[in-house]
Amino acid sequence: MMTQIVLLIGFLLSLTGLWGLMTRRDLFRMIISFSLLDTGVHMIMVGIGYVKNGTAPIFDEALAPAGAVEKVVDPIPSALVLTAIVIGLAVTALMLSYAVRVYTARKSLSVEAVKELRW
Amino acid sequence: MVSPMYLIAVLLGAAFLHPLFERAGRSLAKSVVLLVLVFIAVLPVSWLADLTWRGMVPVVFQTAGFQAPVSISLRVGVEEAVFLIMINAAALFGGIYLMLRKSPKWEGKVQVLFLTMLLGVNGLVLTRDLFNMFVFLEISSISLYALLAFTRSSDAYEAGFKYMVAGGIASALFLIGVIYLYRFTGTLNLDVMIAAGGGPGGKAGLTALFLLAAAVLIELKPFPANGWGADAYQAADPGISAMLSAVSATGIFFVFYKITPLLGAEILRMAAISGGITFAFSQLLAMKQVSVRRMLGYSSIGQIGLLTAVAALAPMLTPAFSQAAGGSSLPGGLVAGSGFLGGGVFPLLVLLAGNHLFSKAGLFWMSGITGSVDTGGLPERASLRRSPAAAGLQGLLTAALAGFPPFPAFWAKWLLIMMLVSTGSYFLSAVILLGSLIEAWYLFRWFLNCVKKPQDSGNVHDEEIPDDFAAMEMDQEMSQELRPDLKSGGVPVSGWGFITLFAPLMHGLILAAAGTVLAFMFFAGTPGFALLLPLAALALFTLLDSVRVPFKLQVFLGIAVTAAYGLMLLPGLVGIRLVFGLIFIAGSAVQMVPLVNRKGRHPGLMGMLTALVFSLGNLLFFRTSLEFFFSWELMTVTSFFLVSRGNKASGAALRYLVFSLGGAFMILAGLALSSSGMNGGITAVLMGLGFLVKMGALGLHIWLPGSYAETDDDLSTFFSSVLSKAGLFMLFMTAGLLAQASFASVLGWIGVLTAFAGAFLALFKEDIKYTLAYSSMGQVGYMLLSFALMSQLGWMNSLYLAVTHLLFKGMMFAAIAGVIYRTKTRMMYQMGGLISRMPISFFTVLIGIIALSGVPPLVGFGAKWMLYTALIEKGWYLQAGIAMFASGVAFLYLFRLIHVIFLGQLKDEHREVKEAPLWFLVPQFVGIIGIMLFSMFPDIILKPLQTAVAPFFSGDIFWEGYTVISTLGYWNGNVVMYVTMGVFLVPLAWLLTVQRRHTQKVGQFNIVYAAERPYRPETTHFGYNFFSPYRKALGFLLQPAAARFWYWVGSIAEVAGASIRKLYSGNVQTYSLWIVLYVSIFLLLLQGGV
Repeated sequence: MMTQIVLLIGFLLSLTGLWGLMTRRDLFRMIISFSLLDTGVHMIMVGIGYVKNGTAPIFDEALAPAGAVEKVVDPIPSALVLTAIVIGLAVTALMLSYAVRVYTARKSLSVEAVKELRW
Repeated sequence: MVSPMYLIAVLLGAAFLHPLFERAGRSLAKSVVLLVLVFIAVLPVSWLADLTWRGMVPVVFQTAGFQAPVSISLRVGVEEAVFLIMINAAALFGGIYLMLRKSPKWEGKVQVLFLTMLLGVNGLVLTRDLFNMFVFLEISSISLYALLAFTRSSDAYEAGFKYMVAGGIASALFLIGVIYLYRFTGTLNLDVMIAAGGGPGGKAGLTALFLLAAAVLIELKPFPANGWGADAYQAADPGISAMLSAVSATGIFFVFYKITPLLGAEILRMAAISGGITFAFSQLLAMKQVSVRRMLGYSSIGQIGLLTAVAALAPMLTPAFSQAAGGSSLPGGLVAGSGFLGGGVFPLLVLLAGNHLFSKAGLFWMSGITGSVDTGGLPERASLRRSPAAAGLQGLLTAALAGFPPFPAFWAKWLLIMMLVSTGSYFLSAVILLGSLIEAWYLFRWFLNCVKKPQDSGNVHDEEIPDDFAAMEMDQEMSQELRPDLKSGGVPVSGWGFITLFAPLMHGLILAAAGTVLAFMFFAGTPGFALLLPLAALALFTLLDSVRVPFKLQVFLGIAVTAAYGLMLLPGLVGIRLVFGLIFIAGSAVQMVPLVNRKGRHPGLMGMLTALVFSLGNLLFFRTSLEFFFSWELMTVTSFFLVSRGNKASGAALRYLVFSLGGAFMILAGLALSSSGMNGGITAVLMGLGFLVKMGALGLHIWLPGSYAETDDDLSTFFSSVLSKAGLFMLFMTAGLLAQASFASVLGWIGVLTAFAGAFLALFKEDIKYTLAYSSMGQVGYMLLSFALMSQLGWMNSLYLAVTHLLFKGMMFAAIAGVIYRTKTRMMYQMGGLISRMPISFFTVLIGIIALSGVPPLVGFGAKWMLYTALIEKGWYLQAGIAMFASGVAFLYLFRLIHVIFLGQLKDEHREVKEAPLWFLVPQFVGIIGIMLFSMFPDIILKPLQTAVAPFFSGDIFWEGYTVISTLGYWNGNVVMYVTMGVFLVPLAWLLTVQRRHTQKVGQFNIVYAAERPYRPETTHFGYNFFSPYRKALGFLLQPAAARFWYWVGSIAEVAGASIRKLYSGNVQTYSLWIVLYVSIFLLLLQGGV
């Protein structure tokens, strides 16, 4: 049940992000939407890797190596999510800096200001 | 084998340590970067050596001491090695390009980004882990986003922002796809997934795979979800655009290639359709572009689309490769699972990808070096014409990208069309050929705009009558004042040196070398590799040009090698091939003589010319269709470069190229159909049309007048008297196909109408070269008509016309070239009375027009006699009537030719004109001697021609001494000559002796004598609009219906391009919408089971 909720929220968040990315006219709002999209995707990844009542995949007193596979949450999706978060951060930072540069050059943050290149 | 980890470690290490190196010294840092680039370019070469010569098997390297699926694995096989060699070579030269450039400087930060971008792409090619693929994709993408902004223009930031939004959506899709795949298969390792029998089944599995595929496809910029890609190409620095196209796009394409085994038939089919659509629409879009880099960008997008389509079709094409192995059309090394790069579709992909990567990067660099921003061309002071090396290089790269031989794309195009047609993919083949044609159109349009001369408007297809009062010149002066780039004070670019051109030059050399190697592979069975002689000639003369051997010497050498080639080749030929061999080789050698008269340097001219003659010669002894097509295309491209040298020829050259290439593609389609066993009507129509284009048959002729007339005066003759016969020759060679399909009567009608139209159009031309051009068109019409008769006399006459046309048109063009050389004008009404100044040229033209018009006693009479006899024997009475009428029209323009130029009043400015230089006279003497000989003794030529057609037709005609006897009558050329000469000489003698007493010498301006007031304006000259009464009566026939039709065809393409362009509003949200729609429609079609 928990997994389903996480997945649902993840999908909702991604779609919200996508919708925002395509409808907001302000570059910063678009970037925030982009972050929402990213976060949604991360939640989906986590949701898929989750095992009901599973524990963290760290061998200690609570978790013996024998039979661990049954008890732990799959570590790989979590690892993937961590990587994806880092990459998403980098892209967001770069986007923000470009938005600033565009604003400096064109004195506007409207998406209408970034359509010099076309056709 | 050296571990690929070194590749990644070195790139990463160099990128991280770069600031330290930079602290020690800028040059040190740059040297380290250069060393790293060399290392990563050489390492894959060592892998390939290990994998091929040393016989190692592909290795999967594990990382971090674990085995897959726990660790990430990197695979080094032939595929990875070959792609990395190409990508890293382009990166090496890309780095050198940025380094050698003076401004903007290659800063340290940019060098780091360059290295990380390469790290990403190399990783993408090597990795077998899906998530790792995502990481490398992001590394290369983020580096690219940053590199885009390296020019710091607001456009660059805009493009970078758009790119990031699109890349972000693609990443999201990729991640969701990967995580679901992991969920379904329990692994991220590609090999494990493939070993388990491809991707997961079921609709959910299909959707997961779809998300992965869609993400990769979006990164490959499919139509219409690719506006951001075009923006990036346009805004980036050319050095970065080159890397975007050559390195990044090729790397991501390899990812797609890698995951194809996983995708399954449905997704692959959709990907193939998407790739085909992208290819076609990108070409339409590129055609309308004003920005050079955006145009090249669309071209890149299109080429990657084509690659995607081919890779997606691999399962379908692979069996075709195996089947074709049985036939002769495929060299052994390309059979699936053997030889060259493992055979099958992969070598095809390598050829396509490599050709695109090297040529496109080269062209991006060229646009940066020359500062070409606008497809409309360059300012005069920076024209490429000023630097033969740069012009040649851009020509080479353009020809490579357009797929001319010997470049890799030529072989790829051949293989691809052969394979597609053999699997029945006719529609896709047509789309690919059409797209390639459009691509050649806009690429060469750019090239021509860069090299054209300042007086060339780029749109000259017909004569231009100058204004009476030189008003134009004043306008030009004024516009020069207004345009600072044209001012004489501006600093002209003196040309680009070896260092500046280094990077594109290297790519040009790589392409040429690869093409030559491929030619050796494909023609492995050919004795002596004579097919490569044109290329050898081109290389030889390019070498001579580069060491500045004087042009006159080059011409003599050209004549010598042509003669040697003829001596080597001609003895081995018999029959019809020998006849055309003499026309092509001997005819060309003689007509090279006037070139000796040229002064100064003419880089590339002799190389192209001898290559043209050799490729014409090679047509004579082709055995396979590939050998034929190779020589045919080589002939097209070399002759195109010759036309483009003309003063105002850029428009005509472009038309010539597009029509020739269109014809060549029809021939290719015909050959492909025929090799897959379809020898029916459609094959004959396609091939016939292809040859008719080259002959300039009515309706397909609109390229002809401009290219014949606007070519340099001493080169026109090659086109008219030699090259126009290539199409005829091929008609003879494929006559079986055409006759069997009963197209003979259609061909006959085309021939007679061409003859009529040519003569009629020639009638009203003021520009002498256009008169001769249309005249040639008409003459070729007669040859076609005679050929179409498919009878002994018809064929003999066709060959006879081909030979005699060479003689009289060759010598007339030489004479006229001499006249133009002396009088400096091409307008007939600006000449007159030249008989006294240029008597030899007059005599040549006199003999020429008598021979051409078909009056006794010269060769033309024999031709007409044979033609009418054969037409009447065949029962083609109406055609005979039209042909006769056309001859009458021809006589009118010929009369005008000699009357207006040589008779009448001598112009003031021509009073001191001398006879043409000796070099112009040599071909004239040869022509006159030939015509006289053949007129007196027709059996010298007719008997061999009879033997030549003997294998095809039994004899209807007989000989008695000098007399030919047909079923309808007889002709004795010897007697006709004596009688006519008698009829001519007796009155002449009478006039000169008896009548001389009554004559009186008068001055030129004696009005009683002249009946003319030789004042300006010139256009009141009697020679102007000479046949105005006929024009009034028949002018309605002059409607340029064909030109209008083709203009309409061109407009449709342009309008299509212009309308599709509107999709790319420039708004990043619209771009996102296209991406979402692309993905949704893709998914819908997939779920719908299409």
